[in-house]
Amino acid sequence: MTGRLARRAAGLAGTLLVVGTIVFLVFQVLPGDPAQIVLGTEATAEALAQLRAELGLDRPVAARYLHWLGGVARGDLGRSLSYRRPVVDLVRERLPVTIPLALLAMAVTTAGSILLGVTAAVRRGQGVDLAVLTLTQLGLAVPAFWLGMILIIVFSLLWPVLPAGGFPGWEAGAGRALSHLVLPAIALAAARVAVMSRLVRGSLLDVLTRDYVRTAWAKGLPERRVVYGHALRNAFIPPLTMLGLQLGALLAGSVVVEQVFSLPGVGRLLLHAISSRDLPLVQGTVLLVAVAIVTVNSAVDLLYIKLDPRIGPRP
Amino acid sequence: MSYRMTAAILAATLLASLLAGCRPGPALPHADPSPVRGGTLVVAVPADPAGLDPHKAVAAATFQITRNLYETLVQVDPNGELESALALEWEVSPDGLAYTFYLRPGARFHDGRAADAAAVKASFERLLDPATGHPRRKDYAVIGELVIAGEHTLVIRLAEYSAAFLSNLAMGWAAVVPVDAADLFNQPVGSGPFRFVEWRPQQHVKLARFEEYGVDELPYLDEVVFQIIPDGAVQLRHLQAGQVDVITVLPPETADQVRSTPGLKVLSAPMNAVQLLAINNARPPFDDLRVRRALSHLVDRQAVVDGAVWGYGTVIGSHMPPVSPYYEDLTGAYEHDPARARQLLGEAGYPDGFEVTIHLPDAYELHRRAGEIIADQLRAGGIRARLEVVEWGRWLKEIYEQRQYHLTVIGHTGRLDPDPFLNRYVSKSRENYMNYDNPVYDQLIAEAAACTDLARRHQLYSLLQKTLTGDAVAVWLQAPHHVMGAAETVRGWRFFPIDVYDLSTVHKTR
Repeated sequence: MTGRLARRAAGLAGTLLVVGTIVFLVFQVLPGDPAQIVLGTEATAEALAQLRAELGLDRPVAARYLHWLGGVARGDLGRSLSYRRPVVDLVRERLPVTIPLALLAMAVTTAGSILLGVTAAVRRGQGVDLAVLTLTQLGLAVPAFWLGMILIIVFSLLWPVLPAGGFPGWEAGAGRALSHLVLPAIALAAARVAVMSRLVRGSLLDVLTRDYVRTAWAKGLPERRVVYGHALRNAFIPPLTMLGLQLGALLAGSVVVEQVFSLPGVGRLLLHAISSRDLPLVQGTVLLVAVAIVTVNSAVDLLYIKLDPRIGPRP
Repeated sequence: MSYRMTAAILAATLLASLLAGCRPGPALPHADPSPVRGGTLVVAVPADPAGLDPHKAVAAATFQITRNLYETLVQVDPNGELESALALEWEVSPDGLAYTFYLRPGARFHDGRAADAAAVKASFERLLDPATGHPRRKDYAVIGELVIAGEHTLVIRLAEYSAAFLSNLAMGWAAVVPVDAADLFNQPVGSGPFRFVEWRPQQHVKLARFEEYGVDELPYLDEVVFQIIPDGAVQLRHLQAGQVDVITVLPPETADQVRSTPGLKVLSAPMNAVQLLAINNARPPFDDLRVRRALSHLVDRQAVVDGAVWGYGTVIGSHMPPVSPYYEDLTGAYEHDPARARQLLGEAGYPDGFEVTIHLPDAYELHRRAGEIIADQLRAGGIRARLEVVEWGRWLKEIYEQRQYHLTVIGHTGRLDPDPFLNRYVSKSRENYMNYDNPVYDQLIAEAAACTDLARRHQLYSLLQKTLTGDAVAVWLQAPHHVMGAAETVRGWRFFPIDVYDLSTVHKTR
């Protein structure tokens, strides 16, 4: 187990190094200058030079990169150029929005796809199945920002039960904070539910033809026990892999959804960081996202073993 | 109009017998005879401030907020006149080189320290210190000496005469700050009507009433929250849902909808800004005056105003908005006349027109829309315009700084003084991204800046505008209007000729 973890950690470090270097290189070819973006069309040459020096942009590229790398090794992600605060603080402030949003969207995805997928598989070829297939087709086609707008119009304006956006913070109470995440989570999860429920349906249909399921039927077990107790456990392994991979898509989607719902999350921070050419902030945010994705995928691997002990290491 | 005050002072200066001092205290027009005290006002703004240290910013997003946190010595009123702020009164010496400011006794910073002559002196020293990195330091380089003439009296002596000096003091970046505050960028401390509470990036900036402000028992509100909501359509949803009181970006096409909604209203006023189709005068075919004039004849500016901002703009004919006292009406210089344009293009050797790219900055819907309309209008002259939307950081780099473009649509915000506004057309200016090169213009603008005769100064700025229009340096489109939405309960909102929001006089009816 220790060896596994060590290998994982080494893999993580390698991934981060590659990600950090790519981001750094991309920023070297991307036109635009953080000092110029701060000063806009009012900049004098002197003011620009002064600000560049203040932000440390006057040093050579290689020196800046090595400095940044050294900082990361010590756990210091540097200071944001646009907010002039430690990157760690800025990112940490966003986690209470993005993590619950991602978890909620994951929960909606899991619940929604199991419900739709199982229903469609069990009623294969019937009207319900067709309805689910149509619905998921639609879910795939509709962009998240558009769905977000529609959800706001329906649930905040026409039938005002949920807030139109913003985030009051968890100090305003868990109920209030959660109410601000419900619509964004649905907008974010819609496309994932569409993918996943098709996967659950297909996988379950496959499992339902297996011998052990036939045995279960033959024992006279009720449908609920056969489907949920026996078949679904095995049918869920392929979708689980997918679920782990969905996190990346989820975090990418949160960039858009956080914008529509003006949620102060990691995605919106990243967008700001890119448009203001705030390299340390981009690096910090991207590293964090990379850590999250690698961690979740490792957790998914461990979950496989739980679901199917045959996958685990031989004792 | 801001110059009326400067004008008065200068006239007096020249007469050499009168002192233009003892200005009246702030005359605050109250929209409501009995304003309600207390309450929280939520204002939706599109972006974070670029920090809250006024000496390190040029972004409107900063000064819209800092106007409420800090005070300048003098400030501009909605009509463009200068009025008292931290300085209750001021005097100008007969030679126009010494300004004596009488500060408000008892004025304090939010941390309790006195905002007295010594503090103001220290603040200007910070502004002038190159290490501070003040982006507009050169506007204040005329300051020769700062003399404390009493606890609440400060004399600023100028090294040379400057017509723009007093109005430059009203700019947000000349605000008085306590110099030993640790981190004004993130923890601002001023002497303004509101004190800083917190700034959560991309969420909000919160301010609370400063109990010891001591001016006319202002402000009315207990708390102001600037809520950061990037998109105009999303801001509108928040207004409709009652989550915010004022939205500062109202998509103009929704203005009628807002106006007809019970409980909501539209706030609008002409801006001190110009929108233009900028032309790279150094690049063929636009190095030919006939081609530039043809462009001016091809663009139907009223159609741009109607199509891009639904009429919320005023057509202009040169680089000056109508709210400026120096405005010269040149809207008739180039009638919309495609036939004349084709004739000019023919003379220039382009009887069949040509192909060109118009670069549009992605951050500004106003400019993108105008660009789309213009591209269509240019077709009447055979000019086939391709539109390329570029990301803002790239626009600043490649178009503005490196000048790699033919045509682009952009806007410029006006100042109180015309010099910094028209200065970008000086051939050697770093801001001259249109590559205009006219020695006569360079000479005239230098003369205007140094001119102490007000009538002559007016004449010169008028001549400068005519020169630009005559050379068709750009196609000046419009002075856009502020278009905002607000709850009916919001009273006392005022618009200023510089881009600031003054919430000290704003109150809510309920």
